Amino acid sequence: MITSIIAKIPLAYRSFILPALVLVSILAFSLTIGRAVWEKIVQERGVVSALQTDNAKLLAKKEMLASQDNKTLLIKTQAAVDAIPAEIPALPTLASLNFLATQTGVTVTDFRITERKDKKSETSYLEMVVNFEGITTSSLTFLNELKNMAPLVKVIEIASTVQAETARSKVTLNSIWSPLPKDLGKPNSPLEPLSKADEEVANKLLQLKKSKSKVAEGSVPQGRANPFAL
Amino acid sequence: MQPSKQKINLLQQDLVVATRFRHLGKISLITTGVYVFIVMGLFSVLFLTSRQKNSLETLAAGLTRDVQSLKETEGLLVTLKNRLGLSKLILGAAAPTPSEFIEKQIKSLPEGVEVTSFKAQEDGTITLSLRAQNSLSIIKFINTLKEQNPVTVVLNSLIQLEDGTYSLSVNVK
Repeated sequence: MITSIIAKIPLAYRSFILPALVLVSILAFSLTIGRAVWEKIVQERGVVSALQTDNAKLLAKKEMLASQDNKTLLIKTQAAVDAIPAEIPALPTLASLNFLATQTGVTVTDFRITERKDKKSETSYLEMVVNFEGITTSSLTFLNELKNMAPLVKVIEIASTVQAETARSKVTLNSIWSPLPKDLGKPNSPLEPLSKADEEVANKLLQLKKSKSKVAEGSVPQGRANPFAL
Repeated sequence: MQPSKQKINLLQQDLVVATRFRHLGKISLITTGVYVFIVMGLFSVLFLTSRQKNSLETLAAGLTRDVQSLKETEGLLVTLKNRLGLSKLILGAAAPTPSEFIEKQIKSLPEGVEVTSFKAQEDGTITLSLRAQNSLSIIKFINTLKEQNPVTVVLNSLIQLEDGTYSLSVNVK
């Protein structure tokens, strides 16, 4: 069959059959295998580039984590969890308020606790209304010291009447809590070290006054060497 | 009329064609060589890239193991950062606190002025109610208050009582 086809080609053009076939083969190769190889190279280069980025992140994360002092970190985390508990902080807050009242010489006469939810941020908080009385300077010291107690409270409103150096006061406080983070994310997910501002806040939290009563300690997760291990 | 000049090729037809395309064979061979070179290059690049990928994958696996061995530290750091973020929401409140401001005012009250009540609201408004022995001490108090550089001082009420003393209330924001 091939011989019959060649026979139909004029003699003068027969010598060009082989070069023509080579050209056609090259063109066919270019369009099929060559293109496939090129696409594979581009794909592999993409993977290599992604791996390089991931490895850089992993290396940075490893170095950052290795540079942390676990013991200090545990102390700071404990203080931070005391400041913002993982569970409803009603009892630890009350214990701390009582401790603070005793220290400053005021008497808590009444309190009311209500659980509320912020409609915007969907976060829950405790609203505590505390009535107390004492001499004016002690009452003001008590109010001033509220910002230095754990769990942290936000003073919403203060109302006080002073009569013969004795102040009868009502303070409305908000106390928040939040569950502990449950997962760490991917190993290559970036993790920044503590910033200077973070360190300042962490040091401030370490200075917070906390009741040593059993009521408050009962709210701290127990039973594991590191309660924050994920 | 003179005859026009005309080129006459007396060669055989196949030789004419062969002469016209005499370089075609060489060109096709060179082209093949170049293509073979490119193909080899492509496969070499593919091979090297795959090898680089494998070594990076090995490195990534090692680094992932290292990071996972530091999981406890990471857990502590994540928890700490989470709590610090929440703490900032509360600690970020204005300084001095309302109670500190009130304490400062009470400590610097002019002679003959005493506080009868005070109130601090979430929006930062502080209401001070006072009793003053005379109008001069009221002026002193207001001037002292203005020196504290509060944003605004509003006199809510000023009443002279039956015993000659004054009762006043100011809003500071």
